[in-house]
Amino acid sequence: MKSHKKGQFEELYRQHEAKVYRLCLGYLKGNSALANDLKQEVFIKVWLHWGSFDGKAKRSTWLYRIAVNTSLQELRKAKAFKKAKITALDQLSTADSDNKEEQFRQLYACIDQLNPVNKTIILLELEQVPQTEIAQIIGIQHGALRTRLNRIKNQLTKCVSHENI
Amino acid sequence: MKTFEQLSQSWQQQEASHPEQDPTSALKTRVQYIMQKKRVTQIVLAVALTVLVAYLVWTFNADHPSFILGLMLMILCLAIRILMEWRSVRRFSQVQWGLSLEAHHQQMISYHRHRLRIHQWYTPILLSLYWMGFVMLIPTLHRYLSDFWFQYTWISSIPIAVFLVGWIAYQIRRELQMINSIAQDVLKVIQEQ
Repeated sequence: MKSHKKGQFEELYRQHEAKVYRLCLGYLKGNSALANDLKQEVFIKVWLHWGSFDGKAKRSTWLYRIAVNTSLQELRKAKAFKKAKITALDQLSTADSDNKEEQFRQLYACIDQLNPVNKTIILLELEQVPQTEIAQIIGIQHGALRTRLNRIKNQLTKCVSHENI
Repeated sequence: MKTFEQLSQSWQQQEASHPEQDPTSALKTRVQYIMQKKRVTQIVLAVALTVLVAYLVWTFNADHPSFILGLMLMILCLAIRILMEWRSVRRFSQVQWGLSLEAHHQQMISYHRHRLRIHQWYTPILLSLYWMGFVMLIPTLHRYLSDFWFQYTWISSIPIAVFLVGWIAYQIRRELQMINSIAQDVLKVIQEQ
C-alpha cells in the first residue's frame, strides 16, 4: 500500500514538479531559492494529505489547489512576504546585463500588481492549465472565469508592453 | 506588443527547476522533522498539564484556604489555556489544503476567527482570573516570605503582566490582519463578477 502511494506520488512529482516550481516563482517574483523552498512545502503537504484526496477532481487539480493555497498562505505571513519582495528585487537587479532576466523581472513586476486571486488565475493560464481545471481550483463557474480571464490577460499584456518586454 | 500566447511560451522557458531524483526520500527527512515537532509539542503540553495537576493535588495539604484557592485558580487558568492551544493545533492540522481556493479560505477564516476569539476573549478572561488567583496568594506570601522576596515577587509580576497584555494585543492585531487579508484579497475578489 505504502509503495503504491510512493509510486503514485513520484509520478505526480515528475509530471508537475516544474509547473509547481514556476507557479511558486510567479508568486515570489522570481526568487528561485524561495520558490524551491515553497515547492518543497507544497509537496510535503501533498504527501501528508495524500489520503484526503476524494477523487472528485483530477489528482493534478488537487495538487494545484494545494500549491495555490500553500503559496497564498505563505505570502500572507507578512514577514515572509517582505523577505520575498526584497530578496527577489535585489537578486534580479544585479543581473540586469542579462536581457532575458530583465524581461522576466518586468513580467514578474506586472504579475505582482494583480490581486492574489487574479495572480493565481493568470499563473495557471500561463502554465496552460485547462480553464475548466482553473475554475475548479478557484471555485468559480467556468463562464465567470472566462470573462475574468480575458480582462486579466489584457491587463497583463498592456502592462508588459508598457514595460517594453 | 507581445501576445498572451508569446508571454505564455516565454514563461515556460524560464530557468529550470531542480527536481529531486528520489522525491520521497528527499521529503522524508522534512516530514519526519514535522512529525517529531508535532509529537514534542504534544508531549510538552501533556507534561505541563500533568505537573500542574500534580502540584494542585500536593497543595491540598496546605492549611491556608485562600492560598489553596488562589493556586487552584492559577493552575486551572493555565490548564485551560494549554488545552485551548492543544485544540487549536489540532484544528489547524485538520485544515484541508486540497479544496478550492474559496472553500479553503472559508476554512482559514473560520480558523483565524477561532484564534481571534481565544486572544480577544478567553485569554484576557483567563489572565484576569490568573491575576485574581495571584492576589489571593499575597497574604500568605507576605507572611512566609522575607520582605525582599515578597517585594520582588509582586513587583516582578507587573512587567510580566505588561508583557502579556502587549503579547495579546499583538496576537489580536495579527489575527485581524489575516482575517482582513483573506476576506478582502481572496473571498471578496472571488465573489466579484
